[in-house]
Amino acid sequence: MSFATALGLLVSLLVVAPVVAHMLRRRRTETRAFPPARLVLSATPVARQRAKLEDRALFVIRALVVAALALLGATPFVRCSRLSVGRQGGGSVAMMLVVDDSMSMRAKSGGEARFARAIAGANELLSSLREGDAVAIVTAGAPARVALAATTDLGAARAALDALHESDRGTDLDGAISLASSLARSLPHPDRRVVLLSDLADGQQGPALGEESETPVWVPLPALRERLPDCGVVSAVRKGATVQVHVSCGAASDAEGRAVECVAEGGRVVGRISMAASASQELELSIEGEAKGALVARLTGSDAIAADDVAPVVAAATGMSVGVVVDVLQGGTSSGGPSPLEQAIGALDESIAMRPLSSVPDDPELLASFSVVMLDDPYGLTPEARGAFKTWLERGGVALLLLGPRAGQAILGESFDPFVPGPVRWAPNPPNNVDLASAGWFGATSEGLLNLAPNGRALLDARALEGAQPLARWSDGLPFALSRQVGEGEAIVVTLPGGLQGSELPVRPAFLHLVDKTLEAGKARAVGRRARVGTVWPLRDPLPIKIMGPDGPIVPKTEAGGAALVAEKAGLYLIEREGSTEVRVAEIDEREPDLTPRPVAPAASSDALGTERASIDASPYVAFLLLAAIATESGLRLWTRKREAKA
Amino acid sequence: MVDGVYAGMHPSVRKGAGVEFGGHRAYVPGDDVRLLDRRAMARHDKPFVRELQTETERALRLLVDASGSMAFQGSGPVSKFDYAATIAAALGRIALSSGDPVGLEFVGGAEARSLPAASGREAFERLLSSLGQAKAEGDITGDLGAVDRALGPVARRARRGAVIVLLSDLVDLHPEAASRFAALGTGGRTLVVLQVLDPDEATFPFDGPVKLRSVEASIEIETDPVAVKGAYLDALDELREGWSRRLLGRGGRLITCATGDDPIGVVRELLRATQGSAR
Repeated sequence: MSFATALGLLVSLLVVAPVVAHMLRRRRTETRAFPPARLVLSATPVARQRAKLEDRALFVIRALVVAALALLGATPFVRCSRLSVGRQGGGSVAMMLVVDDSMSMRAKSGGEARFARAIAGANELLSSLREGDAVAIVTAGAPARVALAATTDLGAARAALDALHESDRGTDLDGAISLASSLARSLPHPDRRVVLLSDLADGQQGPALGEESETPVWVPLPALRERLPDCGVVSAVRKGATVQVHVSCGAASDAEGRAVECVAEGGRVVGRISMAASASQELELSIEGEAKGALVARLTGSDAIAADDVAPVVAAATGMSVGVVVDVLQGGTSSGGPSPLEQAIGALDESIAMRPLSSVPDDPELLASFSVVMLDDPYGLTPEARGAFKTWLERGGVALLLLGPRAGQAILGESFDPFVPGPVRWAPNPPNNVDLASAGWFGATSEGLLNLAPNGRALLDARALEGAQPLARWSDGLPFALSRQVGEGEAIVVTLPGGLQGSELPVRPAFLHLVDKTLEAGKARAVGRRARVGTVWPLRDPLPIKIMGPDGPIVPKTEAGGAALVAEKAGLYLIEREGSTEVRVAEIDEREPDLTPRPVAPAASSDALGTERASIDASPYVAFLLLAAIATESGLRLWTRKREAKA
Repeated sequence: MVDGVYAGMHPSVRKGAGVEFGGHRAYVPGDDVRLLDRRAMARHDKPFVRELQTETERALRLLVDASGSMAFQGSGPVSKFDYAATIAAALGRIALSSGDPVGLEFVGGAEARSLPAASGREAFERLLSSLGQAKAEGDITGDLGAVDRALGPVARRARRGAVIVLLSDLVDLHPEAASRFAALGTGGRTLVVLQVLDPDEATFPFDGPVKLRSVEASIEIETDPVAVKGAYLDALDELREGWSRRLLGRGGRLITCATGDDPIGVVRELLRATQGSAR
C-alpha cells in the first residue's frame, strides 16, 4: 500500500466518520417506559420538524466542513481536465506555444470554438509553468508570426495570449513549427518543446507533424481534430453579366446539395447555380436582370464555418502586366529562346501580360503601366530612372533586381538606388552555397541554393541592409537576397544574375519560388486587386484618413518599415485617401475549408511532454470554503440557542 | 425506621365508638344518626356528629397497589412497589406495636396474598412475607373489578375507627377508583392515600425528543418534553386534585411522595394524617 493510498483511506475515514456519527445521532427516537404516559401530550410534529430542520442544516454544514478538510488534505491529488506541461527531471522548461489562428479554427468542436479552446489550453499551460520556465508564442495563421519572443515573464505571455484573436488566415503549421524551433534554439533550457494548439487542418499532405522537427513537438487537444464538412467561397469576380465564383470544399461530399447564389443589395437573389460534387470548382453565374451596387456570392445550406460561405463580388481587373528587362546576350539562352526569367514568369501564370523591355525604363508613365518590373543584370539606373522607380515603388509597384557582372560596370552617375543604397561591386570566387538556416523565406526550395556554382557575386555596401529584410545570406554571412519596402511597394534584390552564365540559380526551384513570390507581391499590391488574407499592405504617405474593413474601421499598424494594413479577415477593404476610395479584397486560402487534420507523429502525443490531466492547488479556495462553513454553523447554533431561550 | 418514628410520634389515644367526647365533624351519609349533636346542629344550622374516643382496637388496613406500573423504577433508588412495601411494612410495624391489628390487600399484582387483620408478632412476619412475595405486574387499567376485589374485603371487615391506607401511584387505576375508595370512609374509618411516584414521574426531567410508553396500557407517546412538561405536571396535579377532592369529602387525605424521598418523613406524614383525620 502506497503512502498516497494510506492517506486517501485516512481522508475517506475523516469523511465517513462524521456521517456515521450523525446518522447515529439521528437514530430513531429512544423509547422509554413511563407509566403516566397517558398524561403526556403528543408533540411529535413540532419536535421532529424542528429537529429535522436543525439537524439537516447542521449535517450539511458539517459534511461541507469535513469535505473541505478532506479536499484540503487531498489537494495535491485533485486532478481535472487541464493541460499541463511535463518536465524531464523536474527542471525548467522552454515551451514554444504555437496557437493556430487560421480560419479553420473558427469551427466549433463540442459547442466551443476551436480557437477559444486553444487559447484556454494555452492559458492552462501557462498556469502550469513555474518560475524560470521560458515561453514563446507563435501564431500558425499564414504566414507564421512571432506573437511573443521567448521570455520568462509569464504575465507578458498572458497579455500576448489575450491580444490574439480569430482570423481568416490560411494555415502554416510547418512554418510555425520551424519558427518556434528557431526561437527555442537560442534558449539555455535543455528541456524544450513546441506545443501545437491547432486543429491541424492545413490542407497539406505533408509528413506527420512532429516527425521532422528538431525540437520535440507535443500536439494536445485531440478534440479539436474532428473532421467537419465545410465549403468556402474563395473568390467571386464579375465580368460583365457573369460572375465567376471559385468554391473550395474539404471533400466532394461537402458540396452535395448546395448551390451558389449571387445576392444584390436588399437580399435580392440575381443568380444561382448548383454546385457539382467536387472539392474545388469554378462556377459561372449569369446575372439575371439589372444588378447595380455591391453584390455578394454566398453558399446555400450550412457547414462548420459560416464566415467563409459569403464573399464580396469584385470587378475583374485587367490582367497584371509585368515588365522584364533582360539582355538577350547575357541573360538569354544559348538556343535563342526566352530567358530563364521570362520562362519562369510564363510557367507560373499564363494570364500575365509580360512585356520585354529593351532598357531600364525611366518614364514614369511607362512604369505606371506595370504591376511588376524585373531587371536582370542592368548596368545601373540613371537619375531619371531612379526617380521614376522611386515614385512607382512608393505607389505600390514591385520590382525584382537580379544583380550580375554589369553591376560593377556602372558608369558615373548611375546607381541602384532606391533598390540598394551605395555602390555595388562584382566580385569573383564567391562561396558555393547559401546558408540554409538564413534562407527560410525560400521555404522548401531553399535546398536548391546549395552548390550554385556561381561565377561571381554582387557585393553590396554596408548600408544596403539598412531598412531592408535579408531573405538569405551566403555561407560567409554576406547578403544573398534582400527585400526593401519602399512606400507601398517592394523591391527584391538578389546578388546573382538570372542568366545561366552566371550560376545554376535559374535552373533551381528556388528561382521559381523567387519569381513566384515577386509576382504574388505584385498581385497583392495591385490597386483594386485581390490578395490572400494575411497580406500586409504597406501604406504610403499621406496615410489614409479612413480604412473600413469587413468588420468596421481599422487602424493601420505602424512598424519599423512604416504604416501597414494587415488583412486579418476576408472581405472588402475600403481605403479613403486624397478624395478617392481604393478597394482591396482579401480572399481566403482555398485549402482552408478542408478541415481534414494532418497526421500526428506518435512521439508528439507522448505523456512525457505534457498531460491533459493536471494537479491543481485549490487549497486557498477550499480553506475559504472551510472558514465560511464553520462561520455558518456557528451562526446557526447561535440562532438556535436564542430561539430556544425565547421558547 | 419504625423506632425513629415512634419517638413521640405515635399517640396512645385511639378513636372510635367510645364514651369520651372527641370533637365534632360534619355529618356524612352513613354516620350513625345517634351521634348527631342537636346543639351543634342548632348553632351552625348544619348536621354535626360527635366523635367519641374509643377504647377499642383501631385496625390498620393496608391497600397496596401491585399493578405493573408500580414496578417502574426510573431515576429513583428503588421501584415504586418496593418503596410502597417499605412504607406499608413500617406502618404495620407501628400499628402492631401499638396492639392494633393490621390487614393487607393488594390491587392487582402476582403472588399477592391478602392478609386478614391480625395482631401479634406473627402478624408482622406474615405482613413482611406477603409484601416480599408479591410482584408488581399486570394491567389493571380500566379494570374496576381489580379495585373492587381489593376494596371489597376492607369494606366488609373494617370496623369503625379503622385506618385504611392506600399506597399507589394512582396513574393506572380506574377513574372510578377514587370514588370507590372514598366510599370506604364511612363508619368512622380514616382514609389516607399515599401516592408513590418515581422522581422522573414527579418532575418529568426529560430533554430532547423522546417516545414514552406506558407500562400497563399500550400507549406510546412521541413528544417534545420541553414543550409538554408544563401540561404534564398540570395533568398530574389534576389527578391529585380529583383524589383529594373525593377524600376530603370523607375526611381523608392524599399525600404524595417520590421514591427518592426519605421514607421516615413519609411515615411521619402518614401518621400525622391518620391522627388528624381521626381527630
